[in-house]
Amino acid sequence: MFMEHLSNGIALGSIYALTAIGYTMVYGIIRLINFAHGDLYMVGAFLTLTAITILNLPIAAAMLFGMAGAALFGIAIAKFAYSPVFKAPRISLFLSAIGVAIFLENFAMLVWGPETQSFPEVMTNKIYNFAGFRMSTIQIIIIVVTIVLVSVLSYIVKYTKMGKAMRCVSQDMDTARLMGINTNRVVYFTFALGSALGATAGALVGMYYKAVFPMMGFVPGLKAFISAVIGGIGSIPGAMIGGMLMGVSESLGAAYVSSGYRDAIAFVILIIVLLFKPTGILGKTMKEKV
Amino acid sequence: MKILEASGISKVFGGLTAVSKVDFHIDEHEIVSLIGPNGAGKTTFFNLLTGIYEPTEGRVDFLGAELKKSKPFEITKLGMARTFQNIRLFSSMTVLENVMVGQHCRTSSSIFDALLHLKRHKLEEVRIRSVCEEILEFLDLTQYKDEIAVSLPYGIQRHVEIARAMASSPRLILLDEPAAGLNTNEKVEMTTLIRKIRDRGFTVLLIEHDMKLVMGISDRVAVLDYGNKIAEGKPEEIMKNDRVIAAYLGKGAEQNA
Amino acid sequence: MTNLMTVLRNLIFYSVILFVAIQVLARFFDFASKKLIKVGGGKKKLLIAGVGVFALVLPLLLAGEPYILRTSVMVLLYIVLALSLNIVLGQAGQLSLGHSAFYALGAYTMAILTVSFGVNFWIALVAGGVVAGIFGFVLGIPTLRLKGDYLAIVTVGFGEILRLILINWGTFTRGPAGIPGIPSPSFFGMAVKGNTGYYYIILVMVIVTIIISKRLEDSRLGRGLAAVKDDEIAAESMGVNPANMKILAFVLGAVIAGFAGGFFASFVHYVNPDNFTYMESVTILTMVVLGGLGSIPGVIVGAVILAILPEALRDISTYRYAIYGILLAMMMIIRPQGMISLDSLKRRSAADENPRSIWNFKSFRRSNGR
Repeated sequence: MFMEHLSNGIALGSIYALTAIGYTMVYGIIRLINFAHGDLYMVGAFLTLTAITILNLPIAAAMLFGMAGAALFGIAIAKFAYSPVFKAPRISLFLSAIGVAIFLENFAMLVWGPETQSFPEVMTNKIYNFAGFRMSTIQIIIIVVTIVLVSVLSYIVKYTKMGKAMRCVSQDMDTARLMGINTNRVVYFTFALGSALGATAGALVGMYYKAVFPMMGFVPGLKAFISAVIGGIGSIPGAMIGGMLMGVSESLGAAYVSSGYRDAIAFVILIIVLLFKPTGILGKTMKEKV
Repeated sequence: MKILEASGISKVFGGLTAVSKVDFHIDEHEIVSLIGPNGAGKTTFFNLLTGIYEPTEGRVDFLGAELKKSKPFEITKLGMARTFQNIRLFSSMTVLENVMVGQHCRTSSSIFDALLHLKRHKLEEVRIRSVCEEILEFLDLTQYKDEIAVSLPYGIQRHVEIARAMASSPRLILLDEPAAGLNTNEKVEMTTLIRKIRDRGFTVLLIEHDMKLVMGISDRVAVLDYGNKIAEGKPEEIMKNDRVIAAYLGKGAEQNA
Repeated sequence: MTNLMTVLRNLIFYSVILFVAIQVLARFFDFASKKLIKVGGGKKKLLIAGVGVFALVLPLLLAGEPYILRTSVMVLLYIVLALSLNIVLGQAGQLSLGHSAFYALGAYTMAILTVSFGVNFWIALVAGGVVAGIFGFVLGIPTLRLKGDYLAIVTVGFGEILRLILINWGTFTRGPAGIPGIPSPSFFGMAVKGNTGYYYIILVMVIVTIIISKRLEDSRLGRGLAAVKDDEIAAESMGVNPANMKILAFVLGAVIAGFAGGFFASFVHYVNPDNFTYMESVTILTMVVLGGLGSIPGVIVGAVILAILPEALRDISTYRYAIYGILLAMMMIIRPQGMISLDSLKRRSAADENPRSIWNFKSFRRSNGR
């Protein structure tokens, strides 16, 4: 049983990690907890589902469709809801983000209906046994997709021109602009990339639990954010580690502590981390200048 | 009488020593200035005195007692108030309200006093108001008292910050570059004002770049360079001090001089 | 696909209406507050007395309209809730997204004490306030180390955990089924029957809450709260202990929300966990933001508008929260200070400087952080 919970936790952890990366990237660039990120995950799942059921696309193409769609949503949100309040006090930006999150949830409810929709069976699900470590096809797919996407992302951030620009902007936006970096493009690119990763996570979760519904992004979004905080917000490897820790501890906690309170576990972890090591595992201290 | 004494205080940020083993004291009713090139550690030194940073080593004594891990608000209550280099007035408040915040630590009515409008609260409110209005009068700010503070011209805002600091009835006032960004006229006014504050019985510690202002009003000047105190003495001594000239103008100037 | 088109068309239509409505209301309130500020003390008292008399006789006017009277009670209840959140968010600047948790604590205290233990309504009402206050203190502690958006996430977590407890702790809360049969109060032996009695109880609560908010604002503690909101470091340097201020705000806000919850439980005679979701917190938050953070008259106006709106727009009730979302973001963009801003109340002169234009699409230009 333990092994089963563990593999379940790793699959879940991969999903949190993918979502957490989106939070961390956006936070790194504009110092905003993008409250709507969890809902982009939901939008990604719905778009993927729509692409399968209405457009009859194969699963891989449908996921790409979901990623592209969510990326467009991400850019639109940054453009219309965040950039106008970027110069205002932080609280305005964050309240705007909350507004966007509520809007997306209810937009999905209006378009796709409030009921849970079942995700079609896209592949035969077999159980593989690795010396007592049991994993299903879908779990393996989740983990592989996560590894591939994170590798691609790391490549982009480390070796491409855009990635360099992103790193500059996250250090100091003003200086980056003075050095001739088009910071707007970097911001939109970051939103697009983060949203696409979140959308993939949403689609994978839809496949995993075979269910998609408008509020599906709310709690996982919070958990992914918490994962990002655990790992140290702003750090991509940190988000990976945090996501994994979150997934495994949630899965084990639900199994051995209490299943009714599985969603509470994340918040308890968050409070402990924030009180004792607010910078997270790989985070850097940031102190306000006086 | 020594009002404040720092003994061998240092502050290290990671690998950078911002302030290194500085000994320093202020006597009552003095105007002391702390000068030094940019990045010499002056503001860090201020933050060590006011409790925003904790010294890595050394101790600070204020009014005869050691400030051990005291929080900034506790130090203010003991009688040390400050202004900020980059003005930090409360943006939602009027000038009078800003200054009234200064009286916070000198008053004690509780939430129940306030909600039930008990006599204690009412008397205290009257007292706070009269103390603050008197300070505004003293600094010629009465005409601005109902304006939103941050909407005023820069020079006035500097004065409001000083008024706010004075409202906490301190023994020692720390002014962090009070003349920065002021024009020549305003600088002259600021000089008069600092004298006026001292004559009212306050002790003043000043960080300032404007040499004319510093040399004109200081009883004593201390010079920081790369976190070390390189000189201390009367203004005329400091002006002649070779190490100070070198610190400000670079090594070459010393030889040419 | 047709569904998508209808939804998009409707949303665009509502957004335009919302945009126009905000602009019109903003102009109206600017004009009205400018006029009112110039009005002398005597006339102002007359105006307040007028509103008071109107509120007092309203139930008599609505004798044949039980539905409208019931709505009026809900409007007043939301005024109390919005003012309680305003203490935390508007006066102390602490972003709390778990406010419905305090509301829930008050309501469940009322329900459990009156139904299971037969406790008197008034005692249960006070107990609800106390229980909520204790939890406000508990939630206040993490706020000492957290700022802004981090705090918001913790408060969301607090609200969610409390909801999970309400759902899972079946023996005490009857789980998702909720607690029915909460009795009506009696007042000096007279049973409060019908909505009229409830109306007067909540009216008293509104008045008390307004007085508390106003007196707090005009006290040294109120200035301390505002100082912490504006600039925590400067506040600390001026001798204000930010920890005390934040805890004070959380406890006071929680106590008032607890009272409101107790009233609500008795008014509808039934509570269940669905009454106290995150969306409820968001509704209260939107009221405060719409009215104007920190501005007491503004928050009242915001609560009245948003409590009446869903009743007036029953036909499009499915769009309600989507509209709230747009409203929140749009307010931040075109009128972040709210309908009646704190500034305009303080400024004797006009509050007509630079209303920001929505067309002024500023790009991301600012250094990171603050």
